[in-house]
Amino acid sequence: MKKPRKKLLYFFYYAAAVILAIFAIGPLIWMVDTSFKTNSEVLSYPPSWGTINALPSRTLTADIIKTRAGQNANPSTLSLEALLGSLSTTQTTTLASPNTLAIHVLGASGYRGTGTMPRRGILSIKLLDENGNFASYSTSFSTPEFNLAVAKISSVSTLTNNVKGIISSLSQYTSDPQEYILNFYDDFMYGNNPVFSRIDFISNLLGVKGLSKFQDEITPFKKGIGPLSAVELNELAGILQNALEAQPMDRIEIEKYLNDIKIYLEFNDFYQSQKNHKLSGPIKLAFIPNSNQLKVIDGQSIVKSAYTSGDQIYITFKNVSFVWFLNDSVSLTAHYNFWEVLENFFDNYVSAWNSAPFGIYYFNSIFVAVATTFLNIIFDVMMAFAFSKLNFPGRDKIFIAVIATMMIPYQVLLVADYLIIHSFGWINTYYALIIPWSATAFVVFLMRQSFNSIPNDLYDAAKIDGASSWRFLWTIAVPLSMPVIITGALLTFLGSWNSFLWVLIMTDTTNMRTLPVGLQNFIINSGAIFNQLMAAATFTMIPVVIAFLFFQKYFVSGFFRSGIK
Amino acid sequence: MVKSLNRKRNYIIGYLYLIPALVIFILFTYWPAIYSFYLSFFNTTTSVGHAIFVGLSNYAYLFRTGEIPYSPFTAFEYSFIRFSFAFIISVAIFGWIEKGGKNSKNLIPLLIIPIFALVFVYPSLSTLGGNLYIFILWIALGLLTYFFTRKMEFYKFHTVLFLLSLLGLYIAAFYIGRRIDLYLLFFKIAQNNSFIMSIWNTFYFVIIDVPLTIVISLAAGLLMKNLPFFKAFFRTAFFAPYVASIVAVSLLWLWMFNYHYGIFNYILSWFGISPINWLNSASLTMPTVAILSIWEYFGYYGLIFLSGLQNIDQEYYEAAEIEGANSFQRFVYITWPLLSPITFFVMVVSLINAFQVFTQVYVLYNQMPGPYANSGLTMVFYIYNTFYNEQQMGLASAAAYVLLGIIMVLTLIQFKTTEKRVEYNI
Repeated sequence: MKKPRKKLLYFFYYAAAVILAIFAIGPLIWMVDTSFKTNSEVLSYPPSWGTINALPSRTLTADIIKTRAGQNANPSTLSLEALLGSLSTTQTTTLASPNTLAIHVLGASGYRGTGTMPRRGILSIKLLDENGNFASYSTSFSTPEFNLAVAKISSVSTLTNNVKGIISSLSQYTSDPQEYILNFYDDFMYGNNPVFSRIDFISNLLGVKGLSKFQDEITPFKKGIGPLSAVELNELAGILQNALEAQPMDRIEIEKYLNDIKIYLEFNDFYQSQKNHKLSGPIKLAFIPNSNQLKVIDGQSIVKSAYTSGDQIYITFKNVSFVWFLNDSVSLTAHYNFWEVLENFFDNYVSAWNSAPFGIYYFNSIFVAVATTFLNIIFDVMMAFAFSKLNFPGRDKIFIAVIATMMIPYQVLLVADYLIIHSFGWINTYYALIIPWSATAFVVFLMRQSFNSIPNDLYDAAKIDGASSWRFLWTIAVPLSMPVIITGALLTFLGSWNSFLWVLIMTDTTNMRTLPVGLQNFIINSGAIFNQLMAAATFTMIPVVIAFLFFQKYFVSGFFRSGIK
Repeated sequence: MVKSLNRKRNYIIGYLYLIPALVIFILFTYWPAIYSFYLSFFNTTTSVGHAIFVGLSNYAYLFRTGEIPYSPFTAFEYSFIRFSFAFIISVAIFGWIEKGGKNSKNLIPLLIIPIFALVFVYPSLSTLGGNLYIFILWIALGLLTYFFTRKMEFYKFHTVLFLLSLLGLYIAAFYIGRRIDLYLLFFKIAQNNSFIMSIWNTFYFVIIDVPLTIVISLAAGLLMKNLPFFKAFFRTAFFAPYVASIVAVSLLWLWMFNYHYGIFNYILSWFGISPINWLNSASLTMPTVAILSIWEYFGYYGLIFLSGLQNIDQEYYEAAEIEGANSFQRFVYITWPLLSPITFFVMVVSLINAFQVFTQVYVLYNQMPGPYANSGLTMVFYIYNTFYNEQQMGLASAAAYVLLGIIMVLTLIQFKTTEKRVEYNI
């Protein structure tokens, strides 16, 4: 009868214990977990446990920059470092050179926001055409064919005003085919307000009265992303052709739009036909430490050099113009070896450590805590021993006076303490952080309890044998009360290590500040980059947490033996 | 002669042992305590060297009332009448429950008092709330009730229920009668006086923090004692938060409480609760800080409870087991009474600790006292701000002494009320 009830009871005990344990260490685990994440992972909802920093490869969302403005990267917006990096090794390349392809890296796939690339590992860049195959390009550009194509599109006169203007302005580039192609696509497809901007173009078509019967066929083209593709334009051309054959009212208007599409497709066909070489695989680039240059590992025989700047990767080709990759897409994968994965993983720790003088804070924290603990043990043991084993007038009254200080929070004394320490000239010194804390009433109380449990006979026997009280204290009493002394040491160490308000007020220079105040400064200076903040929080507490988990059995037995009653 | 010389020598040795620690206590605790008290009567705005004696005006400034709709005395009168009304009825109800089954002499007056109260006095409460006549009547009734019920021990077992009914009746009386109350007056003054606001906020924090900390840490202590396996794991887990520095921990909770990406709101969303703007709501400021503080300290107090539990003699439990007591009874009749010294210790320590709340607010709200409207201004924050930012040493010292006074009074009350009930394990 009794056993099942007991089992049930234990089940509830464990359920409660697990819930409490999750409440206790869940936040700490979450802190450590966050500290390994990338920026974009931190700012993702719902939160996830994993991080791509632990993976040997990652896919980054990237786009080829197709606009004229984007390709003509303005050197003044680049960092000086990037500029020097690009100029020193690639003397012949200018930034606006038409043989430099710019790729904009948006971040890791699946996560919002611009993820910064870790500047290590190997980038595998796949340039893909519309069908998902490796992109093609032209090595032997035929100028006569170009002239023919230009002549063909220039001869069409029934065009919308907009396109008419574009064609006439393009005529200035006829001597420079690459510029022509670039500007052509800029105006029709990829620039600001291009002709075939999806919503605008379809709305224009729907506005044409003669096409009202074909509304149902045209409207679906509104759905989709980016400008209209060549395939879609082909379909649209078919619809417009049908519309023309149905003899509607404003034929001219429809014909204009049809010709707009036609000349684009005409030129696009010419453009595609010129591509006579195909990439056989991805372009592979490697980061070089402390440099904006990228090492070309596998250039597919067309890449001359590459460098990065901000979120962009610039690839310079030899003998090939970037215009052949204008309507391609890019698939970017970064690969890391084991060490690079480790570096990725601890990236936040490194950057957090480097963005504030944590080395100084660490040293100060350790020095102050160790010194405080050391002095505390000596002073408190002496005092507790006197209260426990020595006889002198007023002993118990002094003891009560010491214990009474436990009731006074130090914040109450902060003002006067500050003035006293100021008058000693101790502001901004280690003295201010160590000396006032080198005796603790609670520890005295704990140790006295412990010394009380040592029989007085032992002390008397030692005295008869000729041992001084000093010798008895350090060779017999202290070793016998080790757990309580360790407990006291841990409490004072912890109190000193975690002390905040005192340090905040008693110091105002970086050189004297300890970890908690340093961390608080870091929070203010760094803003809300929570992965780095969590990394900083972790490395400020991890050493103490580990040490304490190791010592905690003393902690329990210390309390137990002192028998607070 | 030799003997007395020897004894004197021993005395001197004893004092020598005390000297290092005592010097530190004198320099940095006793002397500052006196010096702060002295400073609290001075205006140090210009410089500490040229302090001007201002008497009690620092304290008067701290407790300035500004414009108030009614006098504190009226508010006190109303509050007192409501309280005594609630108290008498509660005592009557619980006295009746206690003696309910038995045919007791006390039963008759106990029933008469609430009936009398309801019929004669209660209607007048709404109109004559502040009448001196009724005031005296209520005191007489209170004394009468006390006289009849003083030997009963109902408060021991039904304390929580008793207090709840007291509170419930008080609130009921508040809504029936005129809306004049000490609490309201206090709140009104707090709107214009940031020190009163800081007292208000600190008490609010303590009221949330201390009871929950004690309940959760007692549960943790009991679990650590009673679990057959994995004791060490759970002990480690519960204790871990205490080790971390408050700044790091506050930073961690700043992240967890994040409105958009915080895991706290995410977990709430599992239960269909829409995101709560923890860090940008004046009414949630103190609860938010309390959650953090409970999390940080419950493992530490749990360990203290554990050490107390381990000190309880196992024989009591064995005897109880033989008598057939179940685990609940064992807790109520053995553990709880024998643990009372530890409970008392934890109460005092956690109360003193809770009154010192500062760092959490400082980090969570980016060095500001709460998101807006001073909702996170605690007393220590007020002292820090007055002292460090406004450089008003005298005023800060006075505020510090008010804080010390409040802590002392509350600790004394705890001592007095629990004195009889703390049972020592001999």
